[in-house]
Amino acid sequence: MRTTYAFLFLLCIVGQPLQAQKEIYKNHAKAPLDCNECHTCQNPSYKSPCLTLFPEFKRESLTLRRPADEVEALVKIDTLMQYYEASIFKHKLHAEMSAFSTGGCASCHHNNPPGDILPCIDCHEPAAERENLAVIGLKGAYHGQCLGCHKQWSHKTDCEKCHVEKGKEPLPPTSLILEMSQLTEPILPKVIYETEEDNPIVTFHHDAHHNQYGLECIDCHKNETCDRCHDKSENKVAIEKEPHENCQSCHDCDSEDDKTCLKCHDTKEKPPFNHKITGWVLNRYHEKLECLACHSGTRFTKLNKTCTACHKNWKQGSFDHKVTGVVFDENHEENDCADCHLQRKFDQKPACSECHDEITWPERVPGELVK
Amino acid sequence: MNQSRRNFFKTAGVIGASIAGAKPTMAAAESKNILSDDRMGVLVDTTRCIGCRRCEFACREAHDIDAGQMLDYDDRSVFDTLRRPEVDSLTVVNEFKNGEPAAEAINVKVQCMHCDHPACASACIVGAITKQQNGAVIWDTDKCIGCRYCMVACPFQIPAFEYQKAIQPRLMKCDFCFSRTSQGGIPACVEICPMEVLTYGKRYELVKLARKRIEQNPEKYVNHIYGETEVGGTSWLYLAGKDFKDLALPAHGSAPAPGASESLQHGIFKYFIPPISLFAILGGIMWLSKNKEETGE
Ligand code: SF4
Ligand code: SF4
Repeated sequence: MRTTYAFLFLLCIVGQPLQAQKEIYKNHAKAPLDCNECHTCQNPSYKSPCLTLFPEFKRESLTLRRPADEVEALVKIDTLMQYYEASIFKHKLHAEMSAFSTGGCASCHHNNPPGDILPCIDCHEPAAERENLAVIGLKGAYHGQCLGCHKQWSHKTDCEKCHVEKGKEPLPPTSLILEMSQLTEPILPKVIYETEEDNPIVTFHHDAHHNQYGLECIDCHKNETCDRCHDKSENKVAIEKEPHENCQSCHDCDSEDDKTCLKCHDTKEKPPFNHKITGWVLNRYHEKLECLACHSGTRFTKLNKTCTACHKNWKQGSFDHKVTGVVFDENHEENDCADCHLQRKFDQKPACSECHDEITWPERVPGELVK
Repeated sequence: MNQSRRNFFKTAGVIGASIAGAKPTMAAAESKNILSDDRMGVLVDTTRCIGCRRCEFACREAHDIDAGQMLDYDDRSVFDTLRRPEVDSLTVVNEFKNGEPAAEAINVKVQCMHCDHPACASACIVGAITKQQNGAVIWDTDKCIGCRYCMVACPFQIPAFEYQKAIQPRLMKCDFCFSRTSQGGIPACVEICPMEVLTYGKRYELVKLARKRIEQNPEKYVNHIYGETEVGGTSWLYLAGKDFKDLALPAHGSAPAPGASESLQHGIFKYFIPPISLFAILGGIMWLSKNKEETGE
């Protein structure tokens, strides 16, 4: 009895799609579809449908379920080891850098059907003598992916960059490779462009734009090829085709107005931006902040200098006065801010005279000075 | 003196004819279906080539030519000059500038094209060069008389001769790794190529494959399969992203290069004798006529 039910149940499950498929088989040829999109042969039949592996219209839907910074750091490639030892591929580094390119993860994981990422070998056969010559073999597929960029920027084809010749010295320890694979911070502190203007030198403080001004790499680096930055032969970063485009999205640039040009163009190298020139010297706490912590948007305009304009909830008890370099003694601990900072004007000298005769800051300190 | 020369030729003719008659097996195997559908070929997709020259290394190894260290082939300074296949390098890779940046340069592997109607074979008066059923154009050491007609005839300037050898210099050219391919193997260069620039397969399938690649990437390739029709078709086929003329692949029409002289030459010299025997015979004749001269005077 039980088995009969089980059988009927199974039949329901299995029978259903079979039925459905037959229906499709009957009618879909009449639908406005291009046969070649799914079938590789002229006369596909029910028995041998000669289906394309991944029809073009399905290819769009690669599912990447993990962000690039969560993927495997290293991948060992040891499928083909005729002449060379295994290669350790810095996967995470490449995944992150791929965000700069047009393809992203799909630059390597191309034609992946929806669902899990498939290993290359699922489509690319390892043997040179293979049935389907149209799909490139595994060796060609691997090397095509790597050398497509690596050859471009090194102008070399040194195999040893990725794997050592069989029997030669062993690979560097995994820990070292892992360390190398973490190098994703901007390594270029500044770029000096030489233009053909009267003031030819444009100094671009690359690291400051990322570390301080709060720009993400992909805010500027979009749809780029690797060799735009990695071209070893050039020893400099190729100048943009549209040199002003990237800068202009934040900096005013009016060719009629010399003043805006001179902000970047000079006769000599420019030092990085120093907040002093705005008339507001940054203290050691403010210095560490990204610009966007105080300024909003892309226009770094003048701000209200009153502390509470930013530090809105500063009041007695919520503010650690130690950060100012003064730790109160018992007598002052309970004071309200406005007791000393009259009208909560923190940029002005505290007024001791409200309570004490002939005592002034900073000759006398309401506690102890700390570093 | 005149007398003795005439004697020499007369004797030579008699002896030569008798030897030729005794060796009817020298006939070239012309009954073979040399242009069968199953003949193999190699598709060279120059857009994939990185100029690593591993194919040069593998080729030398496969032909017992001193190949040196594999790493030596990373030296790209060889690309400064345009190279041709030589006696000790049956295949060479060249590099062609392709604008800026320099890394965009195009690398092109050169070797015998294994013509369907090989001019070298037609030019060869002793039938030492033959097109094989698997597509290979190979050469028979024993038959070659070292006349070097094949060098002149080849539309791709491929055959090279061991000039430094006085006796029995070998013609050196790509033999499609005949010892491997005739046993179902693949050519050594195809096997080693890391980029799969080289695809080994049935020629007609390679033509289809090449056409498909052009179709799928029309902006990447020039719409031409070099070797499909050139000089009547070749077993080696090329794809490129730039005009083939700029890659030192000469523009050729679709007419086979050899022309009508083929049957004539082959007819005359079909039963020709190998050079070692020829030298022996000639030596013998000289000795004979010298003797004659001495006794006559
Ligand atoms: S390329 Fe030259 S050597 Fe090779 S088969 Fe053709 S004619 Fe002969
Ligand atoms: S082995 Fe392949 S990639 Fe390397 S030079 Fe030869 S054909 Fe080009």
